[in-house]
Amino acid sequence: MVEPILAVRDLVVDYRTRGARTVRAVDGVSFDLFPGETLGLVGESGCGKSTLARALTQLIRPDAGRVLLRTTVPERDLCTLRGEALRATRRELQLVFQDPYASLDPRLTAGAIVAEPLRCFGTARSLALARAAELLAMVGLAPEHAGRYPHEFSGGQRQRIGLARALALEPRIVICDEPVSALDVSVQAQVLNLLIDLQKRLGLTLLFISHDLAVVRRMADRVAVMQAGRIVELADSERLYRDPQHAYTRTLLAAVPPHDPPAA
Amino acid sequence: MPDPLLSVRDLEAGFRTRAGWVRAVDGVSFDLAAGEAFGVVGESGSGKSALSLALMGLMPGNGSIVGGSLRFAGQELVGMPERQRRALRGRRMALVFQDPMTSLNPYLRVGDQVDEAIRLHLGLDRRAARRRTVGLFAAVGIPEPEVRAARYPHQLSGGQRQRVMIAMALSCDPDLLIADEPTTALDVTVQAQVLALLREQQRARRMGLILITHNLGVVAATCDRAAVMYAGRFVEIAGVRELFAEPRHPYTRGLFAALPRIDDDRSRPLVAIPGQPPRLVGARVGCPFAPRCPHAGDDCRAVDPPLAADASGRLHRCLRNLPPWKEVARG
Repeated sequence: MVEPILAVRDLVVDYRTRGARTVRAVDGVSFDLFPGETLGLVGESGCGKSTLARALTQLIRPDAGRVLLRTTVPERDLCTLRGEALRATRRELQLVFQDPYASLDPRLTAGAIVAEPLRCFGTARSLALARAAELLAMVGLAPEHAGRYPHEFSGGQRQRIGLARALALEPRIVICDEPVSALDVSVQAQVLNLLIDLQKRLGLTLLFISHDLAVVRRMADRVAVMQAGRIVELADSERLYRDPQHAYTRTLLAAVPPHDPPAA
Repeated sequence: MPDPLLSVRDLEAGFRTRAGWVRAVDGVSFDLAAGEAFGVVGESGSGKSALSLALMGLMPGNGSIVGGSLRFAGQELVGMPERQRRALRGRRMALVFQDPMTSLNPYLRVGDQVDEAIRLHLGLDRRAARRRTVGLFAAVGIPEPEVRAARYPHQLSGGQRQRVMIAMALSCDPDLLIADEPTTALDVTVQAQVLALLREQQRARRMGLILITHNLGVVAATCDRAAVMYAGRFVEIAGVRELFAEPRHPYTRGLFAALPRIDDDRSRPLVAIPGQPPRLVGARVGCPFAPRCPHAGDDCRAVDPPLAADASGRLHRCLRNLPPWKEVARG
């Protein structure tokens, strides 16, 4: 039996708003992520998908629960790690963001953006830039792109840069938070195919977050459906789309616009 | 055939930018019959929003219509004085934008905003206007319409705000409604409801609808006929059933091949369209899709084909007569 590479247990994230009210954005989420798989996470805006992504990577510290990384023995609980230990562990778990405009520093070149994670972990500048050039080639960009700034790239190209940056530290797990939502259909397919290709070549484990059920069907081996901070259904992709069990999953699937016009 | 409600001929519109003149709408022609729902599908930068602004006479300061004709209910709109144009806008042609949060005034109660449009255009008094507003809110599916009319925009959900926008657009019984990405900011479940509402109101009122979107599924759900827009022009126009069953232009086919479907399995490869859409600045030679087109040859790079009927009577801009479209692994 294959052991999970990441085990999430009873994760809770609360947001405290003015007036001391709390909003429970992630409400007791548990799931396993198996090596080499793509787990899709779907849900509507405000359901807690992005908060969950940030809580897994500890960009938001969860209020309760465990995020167990099982790439080493003994396993490590990211929620209890602090400082240098957390920083070192985070290498294995990287994030690709939705907005290819907001997530790249406009004052750094593409090469410097991709080299930055390596620089953070002490790689010499020249080595880091050389590695960045390799990474940019791996995501389908040309060598001359390394010297250009984010505004000189299209949305799809920026998302490739974000992907190269996420891969710089050779993570085992990549969390993609709506990675193609800002892209047009013709370019979206380029980035999805690139993700599939890189996953095969590098043996990556993906958590693929999206509101688009057709995209998730294309990408995911298993799918988790999130509603109001909870995972209400988790099943093999094939089964979830063929035979949804939870009422909310059915509502979501029924709401997807048709792919063909209604018959006359 | 009766006169069309809207007749667009060789429309050219664009924007002055530092990079030069952007040909956002580059020779668009189509007719819209009264009571017809017409979709315009395009990706970002295709010129679809510029088209909606040009149709409404709402081009921003650096933009203008530079050629062609727009006839609406027998009147030429290009060159019409702004005062006359304004009388038509809202009254006979109305617009629903993508983002209801930025198109509603955050300082005013939503009911007052709809009342204002009604009083301005129809000359009703305050009480009659409010009666009409409440009736419209009920018609577009806003629960407790009297109560909601007294709310401010931020107190409503995104779907409710879009319903308010639709109510406002319908308030003067327009002959033509232009909806520019009306559901893009909404979640799928809400999107489905808003599209159903638009379709229902369009049919009940026999209103012309131009629905501008990047989403092919939205067109399939809502429209009778559709155009595919690329680089400022229509590359293909057809009835939606013909368009979806047998796309004729290579770009339309590329869009279908690149689009993940909820009912397909992962064995069908997703075929991306290589490259990027062209920038619409500077001289153009040949077909603008040629650099990304798998069927392009030297002739395509030299000649820009007009929108014309092919042997089967289908309208598209392509020199090639492609073999029938068989969707692989549709199942």
